[in-house]
This record gives sequence, structure tokens and C-alpha cells, in this order.
Amino acid sequence: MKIKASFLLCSVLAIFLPVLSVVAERQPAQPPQEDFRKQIGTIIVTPGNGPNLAVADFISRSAGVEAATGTFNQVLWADLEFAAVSGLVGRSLYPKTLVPDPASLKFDEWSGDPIKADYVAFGNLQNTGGTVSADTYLYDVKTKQQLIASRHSGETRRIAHEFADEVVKLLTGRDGIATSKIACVVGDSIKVMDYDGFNQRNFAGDGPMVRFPQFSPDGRYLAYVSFKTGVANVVVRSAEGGLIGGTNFTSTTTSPTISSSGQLAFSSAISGDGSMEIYVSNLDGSGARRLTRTPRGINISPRWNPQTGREIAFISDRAGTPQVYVMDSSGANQRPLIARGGQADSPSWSPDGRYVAFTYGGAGSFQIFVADVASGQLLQLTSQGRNESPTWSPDSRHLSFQSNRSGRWEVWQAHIDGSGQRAITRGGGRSPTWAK
Amino acid sequence: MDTKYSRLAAIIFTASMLVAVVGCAKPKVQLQVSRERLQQGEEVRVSWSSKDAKKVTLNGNPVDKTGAQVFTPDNTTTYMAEATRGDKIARDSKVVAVDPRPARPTIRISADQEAITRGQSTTLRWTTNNADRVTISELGTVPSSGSRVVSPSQSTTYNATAVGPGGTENASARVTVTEDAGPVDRPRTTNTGPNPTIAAIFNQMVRPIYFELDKSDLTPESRDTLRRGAQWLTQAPNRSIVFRVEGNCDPRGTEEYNIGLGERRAQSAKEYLASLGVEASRIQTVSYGKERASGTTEGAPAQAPSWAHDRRDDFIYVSGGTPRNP
Repeated sequence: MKIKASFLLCSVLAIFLPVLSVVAERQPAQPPQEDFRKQIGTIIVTPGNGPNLAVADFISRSAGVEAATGTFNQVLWADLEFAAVSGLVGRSLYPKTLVPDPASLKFDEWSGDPIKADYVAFGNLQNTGGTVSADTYLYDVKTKQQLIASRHSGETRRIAHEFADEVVKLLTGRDGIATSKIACVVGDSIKVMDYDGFNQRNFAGDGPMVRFPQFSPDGRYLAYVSFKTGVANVVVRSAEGGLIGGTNFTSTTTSPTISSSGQLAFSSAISGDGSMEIYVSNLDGSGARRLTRTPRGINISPRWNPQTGREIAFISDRAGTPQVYVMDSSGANQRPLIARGGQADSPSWSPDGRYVAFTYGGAGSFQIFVADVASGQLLQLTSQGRNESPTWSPDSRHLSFQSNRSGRWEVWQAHIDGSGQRAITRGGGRSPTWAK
Repeated sequence: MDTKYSRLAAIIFTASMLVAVVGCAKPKVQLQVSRERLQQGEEVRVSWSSKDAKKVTLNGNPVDKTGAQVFTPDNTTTYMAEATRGDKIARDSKVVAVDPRPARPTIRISADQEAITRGQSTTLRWTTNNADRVTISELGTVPSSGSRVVSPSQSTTYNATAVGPGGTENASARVTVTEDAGPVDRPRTTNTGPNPTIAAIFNQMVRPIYFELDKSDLTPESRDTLRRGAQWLTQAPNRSIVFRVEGNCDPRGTEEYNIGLGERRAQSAKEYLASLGVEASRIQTVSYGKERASGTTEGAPAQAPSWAHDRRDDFIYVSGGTPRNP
């Protein structure tokens, strides 16, 4: 059964995610292409290839929390489904007995046929002095051990996200993403929202037009481009909105990116060589130092490696069409990461430093690709509509990007293997950036 | 006698057992919604069916044992059907998420002077809300709020259209152009801000230039256009003029890289103008990438919207110059 499931998965991946041949200069001996596909395939857990998790509907324990309970159940389920750290057992199989608390849990009902759960999450919601609280539990039903017994209070969606992350942390030992946030451009301003697109709120509307927001790896700062002065310049703010600084040049300055140690990099035309070049500066834009030198060329879209803080991926047209390059943050050792013709843009390094996602295509058709940095192998993530500007989830297992497949630009999400694609904005959205 | 009574007893026993069995049955209820997510103002059909229920309620209100109702919820709503029989209760619920209806766009446009004499200029100012795309006749796609100096040669109505997720709104501003200054009040000038007269002349003397696909090299026509502009810009009264070159691309490339391509186009113009004696320090450059692109086919530079028209440098007066008609 297990063999069959993984065979099926592989066949599905083989159809939808062709591993494409690439030129990777630094890797003379390419490992077989199967490796990357296999490696990616183990990151996203589907039913049958990981532990089984059942999530019983939480129960209202006091009057007035029925709506909150409904929301809580919906959010928790969506979070754990998108987290994809376990196979979620479908609700239709669940026993009819309600499980508001550990005393009501009958282990055999959950561990036996047909549910065969390894873990069960359950609990109840109540009104405690005007605030909604959830008593939340996770049990290992095979060993009958209590793994989580906790209480979360506050806004309903928030407490569901918190418990989802608690479950993910317990099952994987790694931080979940349900409490993370995403900023994006909506119209001509920047909005920040929960990772699932809810609670969209204004961040900044600096002048007639703002573009290309990028969070720092720790989520404490957000840099973006404002056209307030008539010329595109970089603005850096704290995540709370306080102004940190920015550039004030008389030529286009764009594509800011912040390193894990709080340095800024950007692309600007200030050199006098008629070119767009990459610069590194202090976080407030002061002390800019030039890294590239390509007269009349375009070097743009720099992104720090958030893991090492010592490398920058960027786009350069020095060899003809725009391609993904990498250099040390000193400017040394500039080399192509991907060189396969066509046009590439907007590289994005996964927080663990293992992958670079980017926009790739030509002739008006662009898709999101993921490159394994070590081997240079590629996976194509999208195939519907036009897709641009990828950004990674804090756990390096999911991506967000903009897609026009619905007829207008919206922010979408997908797992690293291309499955689970969903739109998270409904009123338009571009250039997402995902932070802790 | 005996047989009769025992037969009766058997019938009574069987009947009471039947009643007991049916009476014990736990009620069942199932609830379905036609959609789990909708926008404010849209309808959802909630249907339910029950078995063995004495009473069924939907969100607390008594309803038929099986039925359906249509709702137009304003907020995210949980629909819960509850079936009771004696002290036995069954529930089923579904959550319907309601997204707020996108707000209608608003747009306002006005001209600083609604009447000008030919050769004079005025500033159009517009503001919008909830708009993704704003276009103004004669100007094409413009930022969602902003201003532009215009110098129409004849009376012109500027029709502005704001398109957003909530619909489309229009507004217009009319600028009446008269032949001589006599009957019209002269526009008030202020000590601050750009001089509209110079800006209008600038617009006539320094014309947009156009580029080939994926290219930032100047065409022979563009060089001619820039030479004429440079001649005017290097005349003594105009030497203090500071201006901005705005590079643009057609919509086919990617957003981030196109900012680079548009800037290269602005740099090409700046470099050539500098070689003709226009000091580089007077020239700001900016790229809007494909933000202002509106073409859907190649077309020609003279016809907007078209890709050929999208690939261009605009020249915008910023400050300086000596007013001619004080």
C-alpha cells in the first residue's frame, strides 16, 4: 500500500513537475535528476507517507462561542492541511462521540480501523470573561500519551493558528508557519496580512506608488520602493511602520533586500555608467558600496542568502538575456547560478539557503521555478497563467507568488513540490514577501 | 380465555417494544451549504435533512424537519442545525466565510485653471480610491493620484476612469482654450512651484522618444528628437531647467527587471543629451517599468494604446528656467 502510494506520487510529480536539465557551472558532476524530485517529495507529507493526524471538531463549552468554534475548527483544519506535516484523516470517518476533553477520548476508536490515527487533536472553546479561550489537546493514541495540553486565549483565528503551530512543532520539532505574515502590494500601497490572507491591514502608502516590498529575514524590517519624489527610491521601515531611512538619489533605485545582519542591498543607476548596478549599504541607506560593474548593463533584483548572510543572488543581462547570478556580498566571485537562455527575474533564497526560486520564461509567459542550489537542478512550480515574484515561507517548505491565472494579479501559495496551490488575496495583490 | 389473554399480552408487548425501539432512536441531522465562501451581498442556500427528530432548529429557530433556506449573510456565519428527540440531540454545522464587498472606486479630477489661452498650460490634478488602474484620455495610464501639466491647443475634456475590484467610476475636467488673453482672467501665479508656462513650452520642445522591443539603444528618429530638445535646453534662458526622463516598457516582460530596462532607456537619453551639452546634473532619471503600459498589440508609437507606444521615454519639467511672459 505504501509502495503503491509513493509510486503514485512519483508518477504525479513526473507528469506535473518535470525536472529540467540545467547548466550548473559549479557542479561538474550532476547527480541523477531523480534525487531532487525525491528530496522535494519527502518535504510535503501526503496521506500514506507520514504519520496520520485526526483533528476532532472542537466543542463549544459556553453560550455565545458557537460562531467562534466554527471559525476555530475551519482555521485549524486549513492550517494543518496546508502545513502538510502529516496525513490528515478525513472527518467523514470520525466516531460520532464528541471529544471536548481528555476524559471523553476513547483511544481505540481513533487508533483502530478505519481511522488508524497516530495522533488526535481535540478540545473545546469557552467564554472566559468576554474573551474566547480554547483548551487544546494533542494525544498519541497508539501509546495513549498526552503530548499537548494547553490553553490559548484571544482572537479566534489567532488562537487556532497558535495551536496549529504548536502541533507542527511537536510533530516535527520545527516552527510552523500559521502565525507568520505576508506583505504585498495592493493597488499602489503595501498591505500586511496573516499568512492565509486574512486580516489584511495597511502598512504604507508612500506617495503615488510603492512597489517591491521585502521583509528582513527576522521580520523586523520592511524595505520597499517609493516613487514619492518622482524618482524611485528605497524606503526602510520597522515592521511597526516607523521610518528607519532610505535612499535619496536622482536615478532609479529599486529592489531592496535586507540581510540577516541588517545590511541593505539594492540596484541603482547612480554610477554614471548608464547601468543598473548592485550596491550594499547600511540599513538606513547610508554608506553605499558598489558590487557590480557592467557598463550599460542591467544588474537588478538582488536577494541576500538569509541563511549565510554572505551571498547575494541577483539578475544580470551581462551575457545577453537576464539570468540568475550569485556573488559573495563583497562583490567577489560573480558567477551564473542558472544559465539556460530565456529570461529570469526575482530570485528568492529559501530561509534554509538550500533553494533559489525565481521567475523564468519568455515571450510574455512566465512561471515559478525552484532551483536546488547545490546541484543546480530545477523544478517547475506553476503552469497556469503568468506567475512572478516568488517568496518563501519561514520554514522553507512553501512559496507565495503573484499569479494572473484568475484574470487579475492575486497572491497565491503552493507547497515546494507545486501541490496545494491556492489564492490568498481576493482584491488583487502583487510582490508578496513572507516573514516570520 | 388463557390463550386469548396471552395473545393480547404478546401484542401489547410487541407494540410497546416497537415504541421503545423507535423512541430510543437517536435523531440524525445533516446540514449542507451551497457555498462555503462568498462576497457580501451574495446568497447562500442552507439545506438540512433529519431522521428520527421531534424538533429541528436552525441557529435556534424552529424549522421543518427537512428543508432549505436562502441567506445573505453580512459576516462570516456558522449555520447549525440541531435535531432533538427527548433528551437526545444531534447537531451539524457549516461555516460560510463572507468576504467584504470590494469598495467602489472613487475618482476626482480638476484643472487648476479651467480656462486658458492657447499656449498657456494648466495642471490637472486627480485623486482616486480603491482603484487598480486609472486612465485619463490624452494621457493614457496614470498613477492612482497625481498631477500633470497640460497645454491643450484646443478646448479639451479630460475623461478620467478608475477601475477597481468594486467597479468602474468616471470623472472629467474640461479645460477651455481661448485664442487671446483679453476676455479671460490671467491665471494666478504663485512664488512657489513650477512655472506652468515654462513647463508647457518644455513639453512642446522636448518630445517623447520610442524604442524597439527589448532595446535601450536610440533609433535615428530618437536622436533627431533629442537633438531638437538639446538645442532648446542649451539656450541661455533654459540652462537652469532641471527635468526628469521617465523610462517605460511594454507589458510583456517581468515587473522587477522591467524597472531596469526602463531605466536603461532613460539613461540612453540622458547620455545622448549630455553629449550634446545638456549637463547630466540637470537630468533626473526614473523608470516606471511596465507600470504605465496599456498596449495589447504591437501597433505604432503614434497610436496609443500599443506596445510600440509603451516603449518610450517621457520628459518631465521639474524646475528652473526664466519666465518669458511675466
